[in-house]
Amino acid sequence: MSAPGSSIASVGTAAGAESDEAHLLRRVAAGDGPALAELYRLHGQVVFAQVLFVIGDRALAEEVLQDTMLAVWRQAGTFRGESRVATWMIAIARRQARDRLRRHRLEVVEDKGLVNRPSPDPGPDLVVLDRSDIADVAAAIQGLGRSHREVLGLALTAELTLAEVAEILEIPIGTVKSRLAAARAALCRTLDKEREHR
Amino acid sequence: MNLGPTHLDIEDLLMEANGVPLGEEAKAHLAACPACRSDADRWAIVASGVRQLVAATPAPAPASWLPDDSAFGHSVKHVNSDQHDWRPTRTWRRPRRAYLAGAAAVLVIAAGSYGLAAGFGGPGTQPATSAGPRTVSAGVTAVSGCSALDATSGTLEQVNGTNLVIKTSDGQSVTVATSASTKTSREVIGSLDDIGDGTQVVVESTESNGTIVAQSVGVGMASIIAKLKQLPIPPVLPVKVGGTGIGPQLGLVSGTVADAGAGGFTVVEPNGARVPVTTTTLTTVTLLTAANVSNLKTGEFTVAVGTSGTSGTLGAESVEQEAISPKVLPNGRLRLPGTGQGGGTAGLPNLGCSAQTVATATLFSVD
Repeated sequence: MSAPGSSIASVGTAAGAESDEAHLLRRVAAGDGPALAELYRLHGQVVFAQVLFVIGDRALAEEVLQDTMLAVWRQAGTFRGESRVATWMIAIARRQARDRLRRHRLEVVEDKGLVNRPSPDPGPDLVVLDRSDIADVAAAIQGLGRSHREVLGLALTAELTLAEVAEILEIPIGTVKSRLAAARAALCRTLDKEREHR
Repeated sequence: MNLGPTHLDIEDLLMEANGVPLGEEAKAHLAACPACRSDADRWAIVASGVRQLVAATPAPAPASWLPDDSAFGHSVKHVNSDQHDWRPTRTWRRPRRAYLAGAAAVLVIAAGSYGLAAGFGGPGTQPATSAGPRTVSAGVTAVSGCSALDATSGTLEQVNGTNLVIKTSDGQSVTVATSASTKTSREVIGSLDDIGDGTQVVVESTESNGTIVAQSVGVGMASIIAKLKQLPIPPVLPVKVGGTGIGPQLGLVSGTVADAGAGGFTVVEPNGARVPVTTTTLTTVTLLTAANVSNLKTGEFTVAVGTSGTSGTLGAESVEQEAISPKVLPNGRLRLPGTGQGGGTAGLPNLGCSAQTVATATLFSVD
């Protein structure tokens, strides 16, 4: 993730930075506007990138980002310090995105049943990845289901641990792992089909 | 480490794909297990695809509600009255990239002496010498003073097997061929735990009442540090950030760490001087670590140094990549007192013609 303000871990040493960010949230809870702006500067781009990556609609993603910051402003006092501030913000953004999508009556891929649902297709040949260039992989990822894109985005670009991804997605870590494997398998199937069509 | 009965867990494979250092046991397993290596490489390919998409994410529209306190007060009034009408009142300001300023301050001198900076495109980079660099081919510049070396830098666009495509700031796409002998490094975020006795560091610091406080610490640039004594830099070089009065006066300390402990360490400089440095929770640590080509991330600033072929492809001897993330604030530019931006460097000795040294110098010289 290359955009400015994107790194979650870069503000200082991990514990120190987190302590500073928790302090920022306390200031937000006390009505300190510039503190909210600082949180936005630190994490706004990461949140926006994750939301846009999943829902693919820029205007909607910007609405979600604004809703998220509004929710941070209102809910800052509820932050209990049980997770990193960035994790907490991404989780809020995910809920805001889900609400927005429902309001827009777009298809929402629910968590339940998605991961363990067996695919009717044959098992993927992972070797297809070895033969694919990055542009093809990126294009195929865009064609994946929203839930698969979401878990890949969180696990591979947001500098989160799998435990944090699990927290954001509100699923067990084992499910995160199996969803990641399922996402890669779906990606391989897509790449394989594209090769056959060439 | 999360080892299954025989292989690495997906969490370790993702760490490898994300360039996060593995534990020793996992690292050893990965080195000895072709299946895990292949799996990690495949995750790295998936990660590159995701990153390519995410890297293309534009900045959100101007968030004009950001303070200015008065403007924010207006917005807060709406929020508190439960009106979701959070209207823009101010022009968006992009957060700035920030760099390992200490290293950059030293190395901007080094890169300037190579005559690289003008052709190397970080935003806002200004020519370091009046002569400017010599262009070898589109996007590739000769390293002045090193007749056998050419170089390019910019955003890593693609990783195709062992080939990289780097897009320079002026829009040229340069193909970079790597081989088994190419030295590849990647800058990653570290922690104070990475600093121990014997670690070679470049420390950007501020001084307060005689105490030198580390703002950022760069680790893994030994080849550069060993040569710093060739440069006419005093032990602590006052560096004005931005030239606009923003931020404190910054200084540099570099050398080998001794007496590392909670709260600080001593830097033993190449001339033997011992400089006590205090660390805080805000001290950032950046590591330049060895990496595989598959660990490089698209969308991030990358430097390649080597030899140009007739086809315009650069055969890389050294590739280094910077994690583009804010590490040190002020305004993302360094200015040496009494000089122009990045200027005043002509005539300083360069640091030799090792491709790795040139790459490291360049990596940290561009803002």
